[in-house]
Amino acid sequence: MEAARSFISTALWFIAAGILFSMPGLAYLAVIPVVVLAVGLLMDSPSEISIERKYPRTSLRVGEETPVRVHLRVGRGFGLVMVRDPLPEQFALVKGSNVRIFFKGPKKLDVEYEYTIKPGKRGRYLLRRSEVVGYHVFGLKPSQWGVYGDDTEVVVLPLISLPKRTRTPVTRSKIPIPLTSVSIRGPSSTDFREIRDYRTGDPVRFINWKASARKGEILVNEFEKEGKKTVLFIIDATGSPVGSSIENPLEYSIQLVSSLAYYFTKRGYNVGLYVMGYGRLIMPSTGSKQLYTMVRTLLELEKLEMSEEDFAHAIGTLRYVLIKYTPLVVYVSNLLPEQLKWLKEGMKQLRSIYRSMKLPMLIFDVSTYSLLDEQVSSLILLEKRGIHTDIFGLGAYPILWDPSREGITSVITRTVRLIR
Amino acid sequence: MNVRQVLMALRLVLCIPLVFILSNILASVVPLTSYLEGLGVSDPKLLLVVGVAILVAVVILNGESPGWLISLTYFTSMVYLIVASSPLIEVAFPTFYSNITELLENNVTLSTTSAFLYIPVLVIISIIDDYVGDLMEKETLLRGMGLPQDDIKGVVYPSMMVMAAAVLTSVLVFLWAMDYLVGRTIDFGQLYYLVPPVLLLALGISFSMGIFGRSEVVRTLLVIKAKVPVGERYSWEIEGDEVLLVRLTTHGGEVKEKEIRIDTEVKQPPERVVLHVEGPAPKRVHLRKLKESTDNGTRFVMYTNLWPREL
Repeated sequence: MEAARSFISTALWFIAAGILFSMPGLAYLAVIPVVVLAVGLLMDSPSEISIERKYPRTSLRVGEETPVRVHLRVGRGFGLVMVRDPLPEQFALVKGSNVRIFFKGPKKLDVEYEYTIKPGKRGRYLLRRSEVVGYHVFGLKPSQWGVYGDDTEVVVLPLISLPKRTRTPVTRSKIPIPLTSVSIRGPSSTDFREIRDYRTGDPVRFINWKASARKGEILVNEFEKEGKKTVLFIIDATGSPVGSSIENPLEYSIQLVSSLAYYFTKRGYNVGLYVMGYGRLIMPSTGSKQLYTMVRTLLELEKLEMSEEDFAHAIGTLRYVLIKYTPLVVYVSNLLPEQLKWLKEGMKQLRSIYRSMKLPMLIFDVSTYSLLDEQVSSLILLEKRGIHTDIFGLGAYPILWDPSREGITSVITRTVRLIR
Repeated sequence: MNVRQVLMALRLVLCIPLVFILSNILASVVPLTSYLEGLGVSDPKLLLVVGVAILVAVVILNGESPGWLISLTYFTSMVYLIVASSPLIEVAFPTFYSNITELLENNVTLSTTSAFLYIPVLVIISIIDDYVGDLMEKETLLRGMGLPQDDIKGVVYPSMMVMAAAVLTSVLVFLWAMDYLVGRTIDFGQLYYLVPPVLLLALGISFSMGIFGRSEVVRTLLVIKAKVPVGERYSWEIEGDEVLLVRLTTHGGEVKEKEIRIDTEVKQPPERVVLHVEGPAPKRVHLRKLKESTDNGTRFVMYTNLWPREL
């Protein structure tokens, strides 16, 4: 619009000078800016815009690249068209550009382009509509601005890593899963357990007709559930943040729990999850559906800075689950000295449930401090060693995991060797 | 050659007429040429051409606009032309006119015809130079945004072509107008008197078509872009019609200043939009309307607390 004002004022100055100084030639010079302005005003800013974005996949894993194909059409106008696809800050641009500019000439503009993105963090993300600005070729008219296309939801699943293939160790397992760890849910096996009264929801095929006829009331056969062993994950979502939004203990904990949950589910174990801080419990069960439920819960987890819940409180909440299933407890957290008191308290409660000094409990201490200053990291590691000695003395098995020094595959391989 | 170098080269070519005009004006000043001859310069005009060319080249190659040099030359020609040939000066200031005419006749050899012809040339140079400067600014901005070099080339060069076509058209119209002024017109027979009104009508239609919009609005889409303290995720709800209150609730993660965007369809464009951020760092943000445009039956209205440069 400034350009238009400049053209008009130049023309008016020529006309005024021509009239004032009685020089018609000067007034005729006004023709130049007036004609440029008239030619410019005959052209519109680019409009009749439409955008179509195509995502080959809307479900990705962390670090997995995906192309985005954009089809832009501009029907009218003359000038520059700038397209910008806003990306969530957790996404990185790998190839191409999400900001492009094109020239709309006399013909219709119809272009297709592609760029590649990579998510850096798990979660559900909304890839917003594209912002398009159509600039007038001479800047004589206001630019055309709008948001086009559709919002697309992309689900980014945590990265699941599998352990390296290892020989089953011949030694006795350091962390045996309790023999009493039986399943009460999940698909039924063919091992007969007992005859009991019919309950609403029992499948008809399980009705024992002969026994029912004898007793005069409906009785059903009950079979042992598949996946006798149970693993209960307790993930700590409390505490102050350490590291970036992508590299922090919670993110690595989620990656670790997802990978271990996948490993155990594939082997027919019952797996359950408790999110400390949120008080969210997923009862132990097995199968792909259970894994999906767990991963979906982990997807939406965010760090809670203010939370009343500690480990002892969590064990109190989980008491009936622990009694019912006697599972192997896998606690994943960033252990700090101030948590030790509650950790000891929680382990004391666990001992009373398991009635044993040696607890079926694995504690992962996810430490990302080596990403910070080296001296600070060394001091924190010293503190952590002290905590680990205390934990070991109390009957649990601590594992320190520093993701910057040890890959997830290695830590999982190390873990599955311990458990049987 | 990258786009910036091409635009700089274009600016240099564009300024060749300016070099000749300015050196001609300076060479027409008798005391200056006499002084140079007194210093032993055999061809003062050539020296002036070289001097002005170096000055223009230094200015352009430093990445600056030669606009001030164009304006200076333009005003010199304009003032000289008015003083030397305006009937008004002669009638209104007879004493001043006789003195100044004598002074100019004795010291300046530039003809009024040349001075008059320089003005349109300088106007055209000025228009194109402004446009090249604008394209250079755009190129820097686009490069900073990480746009591919091919994209930049693809928009800068066609823009130049369109501008050149517009300027050429205006030059042709100007030449025709000058001919019309001196009576050398194409023979339109009995219809010659219709030419000026038809030209005026064409210009009028072009202005009116350019100024008035033609789109019909079917729906209104409100877009809010703001920098506010939010956590990892946020949700929002809107209350009100004319004055919209947008409640933004943030959940989880570290709360820090982030740019957010909310798109929602509204019944009518609001008069005012207030954003209320709820959470650990509550904040009330007044937003201002920055953009409004209509396309394909949709009216887009943008409210923001950002500067236009940040968008």
